[in-house]
Amino acid sequence: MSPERSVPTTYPKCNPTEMLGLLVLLNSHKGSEDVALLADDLDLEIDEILPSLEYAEVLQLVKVTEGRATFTDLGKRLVQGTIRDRKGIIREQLRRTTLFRTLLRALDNSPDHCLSDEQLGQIVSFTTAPADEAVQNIVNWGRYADLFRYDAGQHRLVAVLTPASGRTGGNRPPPTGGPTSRGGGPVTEPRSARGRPASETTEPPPSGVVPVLA
Amino acid sequence: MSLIRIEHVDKSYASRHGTISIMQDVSFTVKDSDFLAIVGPSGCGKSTLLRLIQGLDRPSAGRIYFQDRPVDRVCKKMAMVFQSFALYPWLTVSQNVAFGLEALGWPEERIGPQVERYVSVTGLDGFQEAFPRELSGGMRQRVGLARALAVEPAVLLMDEPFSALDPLTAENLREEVLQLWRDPQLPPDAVLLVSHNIEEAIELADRVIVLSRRPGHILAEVEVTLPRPRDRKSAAFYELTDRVYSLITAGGQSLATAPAPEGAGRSGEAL
Amino acid sequence: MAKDEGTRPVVPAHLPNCSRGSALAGRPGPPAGCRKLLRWPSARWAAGIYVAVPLIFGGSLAATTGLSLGGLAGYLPQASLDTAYSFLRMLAAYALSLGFSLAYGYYAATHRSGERVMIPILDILQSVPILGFFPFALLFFADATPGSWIGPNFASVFLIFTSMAWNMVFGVYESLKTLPADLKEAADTFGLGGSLRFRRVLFPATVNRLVYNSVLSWTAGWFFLVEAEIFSTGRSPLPGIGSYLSLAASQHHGEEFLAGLVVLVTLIAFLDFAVWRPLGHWAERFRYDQAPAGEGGELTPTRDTSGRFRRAASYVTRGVRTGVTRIRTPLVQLAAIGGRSGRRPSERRRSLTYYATLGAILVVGWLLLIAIVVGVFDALTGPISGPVRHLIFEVPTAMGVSVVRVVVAYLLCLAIALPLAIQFARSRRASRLGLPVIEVVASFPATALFPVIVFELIPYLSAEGAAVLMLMTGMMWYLFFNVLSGIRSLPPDLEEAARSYGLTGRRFLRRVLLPGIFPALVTGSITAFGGGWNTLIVAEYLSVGGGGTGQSLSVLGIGQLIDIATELGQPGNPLMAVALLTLVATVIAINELIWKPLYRRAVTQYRYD
Ligand SMILES: Nc1ncnc2c1ncn2[C@@H]1O[C@H](COP(=O)(O)OP(=O)(O)OP(=O)(O)O)[C@@H](O)[C@H]1O
Ligand SMILES: [Mg+2]
Repeated sequence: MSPERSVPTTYPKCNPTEMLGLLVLLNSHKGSEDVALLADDLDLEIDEILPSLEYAEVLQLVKVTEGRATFTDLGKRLVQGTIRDRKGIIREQLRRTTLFRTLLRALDNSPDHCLSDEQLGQIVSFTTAPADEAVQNIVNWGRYADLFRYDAGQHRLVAVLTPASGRTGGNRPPPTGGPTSRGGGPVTEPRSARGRPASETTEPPPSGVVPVLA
Repeated sequence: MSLIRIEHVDKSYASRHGTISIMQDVSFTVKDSDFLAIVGPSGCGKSTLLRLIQGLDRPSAGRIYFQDRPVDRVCKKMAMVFQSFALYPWLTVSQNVAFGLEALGWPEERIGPQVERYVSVTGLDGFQEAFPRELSGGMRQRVGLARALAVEPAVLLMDEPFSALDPLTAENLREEVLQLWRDPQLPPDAVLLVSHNIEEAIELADRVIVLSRRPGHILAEVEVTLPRPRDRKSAAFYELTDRVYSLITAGGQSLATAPAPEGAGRSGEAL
Repeated sequence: MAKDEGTRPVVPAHLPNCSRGSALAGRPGPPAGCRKLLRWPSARWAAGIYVAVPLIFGGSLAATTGLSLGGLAGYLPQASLDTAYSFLRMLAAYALSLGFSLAYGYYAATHRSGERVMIPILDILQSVPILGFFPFALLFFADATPGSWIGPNFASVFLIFTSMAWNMVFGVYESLKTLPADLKEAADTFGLGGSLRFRRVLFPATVNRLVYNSVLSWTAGWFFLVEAEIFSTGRSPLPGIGSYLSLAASQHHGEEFLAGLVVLVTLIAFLDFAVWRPLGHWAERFRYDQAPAGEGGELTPTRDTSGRFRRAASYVTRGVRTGVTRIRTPLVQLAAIGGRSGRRPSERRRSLTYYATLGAILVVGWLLLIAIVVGVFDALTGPISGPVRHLIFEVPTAMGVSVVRVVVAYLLCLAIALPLAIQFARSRRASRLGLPVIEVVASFPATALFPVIVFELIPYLSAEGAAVLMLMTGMMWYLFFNVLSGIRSLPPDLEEAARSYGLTGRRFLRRVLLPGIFPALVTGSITAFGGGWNTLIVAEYLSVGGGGTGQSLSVLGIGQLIDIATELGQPGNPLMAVALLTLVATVIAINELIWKPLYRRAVTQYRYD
């Protein structure tokens, strides 16, 4: 499956909670397990966990080599963190994907910081999956990671504006350099991380930009 | 110290053919910071037991005490999480989470921050203004969880909270519930989980109460001392599930719905 | 809800032209494009129709009769004033209905003992042609307040109320009864009681149905309002758009008449756009019959509200189902005892004895009641006068003629509605262009055109034809929208399967379509007949203007006898009583002996889910 991933053709249908479930499962297998055995543990077919695995791989939380899934350091840190830490890590990783960078930039550049379903559909139109499903999947992830809001009444994405910069959530914290360093900054907790220090944050992974999420 | 004491509880319902006994002589205690699971075949009265404990229904005989006081009306120090989520489609996520607080008569200005806190704790940030229909099953159950936790209950009652979810999502939510329960800064003190699924019960709970088929009575209380996270494939885990499984099959000799005993190796299956 | 919601979660299944509407239109198109298509254009389109339909109608009328627009404008102030009177009556009746339906529905749904009595009562009330009682109510209220404007207004508001309230009560009742148990239980576990429970849980649960049923109620309300006002012209002062129109028509003042139509259409269109469409959109969030949590949830509550009649029709269907399957009226219980003959009462198929008993009870009860009525009047007010006695003997014949007339009108409606609905379901284009037109036309009270029918069309149609035409306007839409919603809810795979077996044309119609829509057809027929009975009272006897200019329509029938009884005043009371009793008995007999059994068969035999 690895050769296919470099050429984005489909969006695997997967929720953040499903992918997290896979990571939790992998954790209970001591962080490294044969993919087939992982699936077997939940009485699932392999292809039922593949989408989650693919997402986890793209987000650099898991490495798959020769049919065996193993946590990356970041993945390990994720499963050890709290629910909020996990959300923060996914948020940062997601923000590095080409797709979300494109999306957030488009949000940023649109005059009212909104994108309609149709515009969103155009951005993700290079997939073969039914456009609506892909849109929904992306909206799910982006909302979960608190990168943007979705106004279901108006059918549009709405940027999360930070009061100071007036820029979209994709740019929080304020970029330290040019646009290419976006996402390279330190990871902070999502909003209202009350009572907990925002210290257990993640360092950016060595590679600056994650391949296209696909 | 015991948080909940259930003493010799019977429950029966009147029906056209006389009274049907649902539950007979059920007694156990729930201690502070207990994670207790109740398993048993379908229809053995697990849900009824939870309802009795919260005071939504009266036992036909026997007593139930919460913090040494008899439960004689709906106990607001307990909160329920439902298998079907039971979210109100016309309320947003925030409003759903605020639901219990409103019922408690909290003032508006305290409800807001409390809701924010529990929305955030359960990972629902960003979904505050969403309506339940926009959420996936896993996110919906998180709302159910946040709604229950927001009232800061001493006991969290969960009636098959994971059985409407897909396996991976359920796996994630199980872990998150455990995480929330173990966090000393967060409610609840104790969790009472009703489950169909023996593996799930053993994976999560400190103690598993095994009920017989109807009329339900306690077959055994099984202590689980395995370290967490628990490996479902370990021998110790296997042995425990086996034990619970054979208890149930033996306890209800005529348990028609149970698979043949040789299937015991896959005891994680729903009963 | 449709099954396809799970697989296509982004497009809710009730978007009429997408997943559902394609029942006969081949494969569903690309959902995204479909949604785009459905958004605002449909609203704009409907707005255009609101303007276009009256313009074309008025224009052609103006062209053929040589009316001037200036003359028309001169009548507008008076027409607006009269429409305002009518509107106030509607508002009063609606407020009453709303309060009543919430209280009655809430009580019936939450109290076991109340339910057992209240719902059967409601079932009888909704099947009885209330309009038949209007003359009686008019006399009653007018007598109670002689010479005052209060009496007739009271009667009219009461009448409109009866046309609005029942379906709203059923809406409230059913939405509370079908509210998932876990939602109630969640409120219990958090100890939510009292007014907070009502505000957060119970009232919201009723909103969706209330809004949709209100649309129906207002449509029915306008119909009855105009009918009542027409009826009252020349009898009691009841200023309003209905009396305005009938006066204008009786004097052959085309411009005056048109001005009235323009104002009425404008008001109805305004209400539709400013009130019902936004309300319908808003009410979507109060639906709780949504699909269970899918993979990714449902992102898009529908925006399209043009399908509200169909939605309303499907709610009516459910109402009828409750009426037929859950409610056992005292009458039915009685018959069930009589017809039990060793069978358990719960048995689905009722025996012939059962129906025989039911019929016998009805006939005997009817004769008995008439005897009592005649006896009472004889005793109280002296012997009934010869002419009235003679008319009383005419009642059975008149009833028979009326039944035939309603049946003829029904068959004509069916001949139009069925092909039309099939065409609309088949062709997405037709339904996109035509449906808004039909919805607009349907929301316009046909009664407003009755004066024209009487004054202009009788020469062409004959009195009999005019009567049937009026009846049809009161029956048509129930049939059409029910059939359409029936076709739309057919599972697409039924059609796919038929196609793959090469079943097409007539055979497809006979083997697949008609059986498939049979339940909806029966529901539509039940409601259409209800509408027909209610229209009888003006369709058979319409006399306006009086004197030399007056034109009147009078054909033998039960409606005519009721009207004559009203005109006779005091001495006509026995006739009124007998005629009303006969009408009610007939309606109940037809419902119990024909429609309800048919309906039961429809849901047991032709179910596809
Ligand atoms: N209000 C009631 N009246 C009569 N019988 C009832 C009532 N509530 C529950 N029962 C019966 O009591 C029995 C136990 O029900 P309960 O829901 O507690 O079982 P359960 O163990 O939760 O089953 P499941 O695993 O299917 O959820 C069932 O047979 C049910 O039919
Ligand atoms: Mg249960």
